[in-house]
Amino acid sequence: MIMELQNQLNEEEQAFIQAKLFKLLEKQTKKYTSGESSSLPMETGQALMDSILFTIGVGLQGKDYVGQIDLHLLFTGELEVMFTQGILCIEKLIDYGKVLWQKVCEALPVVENCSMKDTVKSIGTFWKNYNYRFFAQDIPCDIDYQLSIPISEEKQGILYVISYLERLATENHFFSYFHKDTMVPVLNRYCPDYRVLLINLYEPIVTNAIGCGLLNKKMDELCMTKEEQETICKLLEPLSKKEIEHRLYVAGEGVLEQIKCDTISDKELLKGYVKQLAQRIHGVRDEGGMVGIFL
Amino acid sequence: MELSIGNLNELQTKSISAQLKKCNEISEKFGLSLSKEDLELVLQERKEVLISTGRIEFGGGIVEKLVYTFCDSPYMNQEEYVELLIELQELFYLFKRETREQLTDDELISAMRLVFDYSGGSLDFLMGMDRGTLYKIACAGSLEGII
Repeated sequence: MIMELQNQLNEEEQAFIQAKLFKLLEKQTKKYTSGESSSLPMETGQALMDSILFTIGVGLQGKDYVGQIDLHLLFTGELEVMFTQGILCIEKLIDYGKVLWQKVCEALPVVENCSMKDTVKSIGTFWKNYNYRFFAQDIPCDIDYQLSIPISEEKQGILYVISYLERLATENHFFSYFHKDTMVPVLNRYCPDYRVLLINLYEPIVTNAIGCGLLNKKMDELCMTKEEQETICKLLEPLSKKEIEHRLYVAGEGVLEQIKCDTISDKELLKGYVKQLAQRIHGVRDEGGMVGIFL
Repeated sequence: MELSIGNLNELQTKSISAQLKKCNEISEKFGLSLSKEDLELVLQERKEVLISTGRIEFGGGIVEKLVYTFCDSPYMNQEEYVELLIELQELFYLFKRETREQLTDDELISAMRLVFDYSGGSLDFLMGMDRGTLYKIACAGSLEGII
């Protein structure tokens, strides 16, 4: 929430901000109840207030807003103007999100996963159900498909949905460079029920692709033989976590270049994923092996 | 900075004297009036019932509407006036919650008045009324065919 700079404001200044926010809340409440109810449940009122802050935050910081607003801006600024700017900004983000969602729908991977399909379908209802004028922080749809790197819980409303769609699009973009027959054996080794279970598809595929990169192996066969798995183990065993991360990233970057899937988002996703993977490898290596990582 | 709205009910700005004037303006024609202390007591009770029913409210609350709606009821009297207002106010917020925000303030108060008069001014009857029935009365704006 907007705790930043709180210590630089005295009690009077804080009370002033609160009074301004309450005035805006009163206006929003009147709109919400169509002026037909002077009171409302505390949780509804709190949700309306959260929406006001979220909207102002988006207006000030756009897509980068993660719940921190400079209180001095609230102190000196016209909150109603800031709120209106936020609404306009959210409307633009909704338009962008719809285009993004359409692209995701059109580029679903050839390998099936029910939870991905259901999630993408459910996001389709978000655009209809998103009541951004009153509850802009809400996410009125079911997002169950797990991404390789989860979206920060600090993201709310349209910002969460856009971040989710952007990352999902990047993950799915990676699959488009592989033939179904190349991916399915890896997924079968990872989880034979990959079609119906809540698992992430990118993780096993990119991990094995990185493995191929480490071995300078062609990627028309992503699955690893026992010998190849042992070679990777030997390669990474003596390295520190930082070194593992670097090695994996270099190998991954090579893979991305090889398949010409090397946009900034592709590389950023790889970077984030490799960090996680390095940590995992480092952890299991000390526990006695890397079984179940490079499949 | 605490951004919870929990203390919103403490920050009412509507002037008590203005509210008092408005309340008494009409009710006095029916022999009912509130002193400043009476109104302060009603408003204090309002804060408590808002907390107990988990609600927030802007402005001076519902008391003016209650006075306007109930002052010409044959079952209102000066001796019990403050007590009745406090209880009606409590029931109002309770019903508001229990009818799941489906009724406007005006619909609910009108329904309460109809039931109050029907029962000969019994708050116990009003309190015990099935919420579904109260909802129907509020929507119909009448008791006909419902009670």
